[in-house]
Amino acid sequence: MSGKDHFAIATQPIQVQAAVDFAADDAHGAADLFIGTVRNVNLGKAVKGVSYDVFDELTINVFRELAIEARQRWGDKLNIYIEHYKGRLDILGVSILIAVSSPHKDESFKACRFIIEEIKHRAPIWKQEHYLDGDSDWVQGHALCSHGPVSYDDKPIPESHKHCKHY
Amino acid sequence: MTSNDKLNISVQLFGAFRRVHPRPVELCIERNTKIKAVKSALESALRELNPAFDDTELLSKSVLANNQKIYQDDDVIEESASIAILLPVCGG
Repeated sequence: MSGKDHFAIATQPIQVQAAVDFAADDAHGAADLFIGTVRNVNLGKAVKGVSYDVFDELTINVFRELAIEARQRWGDKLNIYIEHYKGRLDILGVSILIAVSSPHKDESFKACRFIIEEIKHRAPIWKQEHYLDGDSDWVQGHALCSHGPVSYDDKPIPESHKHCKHY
Repeated sequence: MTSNDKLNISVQLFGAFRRVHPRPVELCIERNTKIKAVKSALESALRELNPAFDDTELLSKSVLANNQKIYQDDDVIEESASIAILLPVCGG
């Protein structure tokens, strides 16, 4: 039987325990958590908070695609929980929570890493940093393209993708 | 050209585009217009809505999408729709 999924865009504080409870499985001996938080500095500028903007529907679709790809690589038993925050967060606020459980630890470690790296490249989410000096700025990111999955792995660049700006 | 050949396209703006214009941009285009031309129409509309907008690099780095997929330049819009312009992303 295939594992289960939970995908959400949160506008209330993200609860870590909810992800741990969701991923728990009698047949799984490992669960891996990734918790993304707002840090107080970026590129030398003191940060006091970050606002996240999200295209909800397409982001959920990307989460769904990533779960499918993760199971293709590390087995269909993975339980996968992905939640991203939308709105403003202060320092240490939880911006993203990923939980993956699996029968053995290797699969959940790798799948969790895969999912967070791919989200940074593929999910339509943007962040605006607010600085202590009163300024704010949208963070530059990775250009999207329509050619499908782009992996963070060190794989050769497909000829058809070489013009894409995210390489 | 009849009114049936015209489509109403609403383009949602996110991230840095929200400071160019705070609401979705409404476009009226011909049926079967290619995405590349829709993007040009969006650029014209943004310039009209906000004469200070001159960041063509922002547009060139962005793609159009619907709720399910990112469009390619040669895709066509066949029906009235709500779509979105997506800047380079930085979630997590």
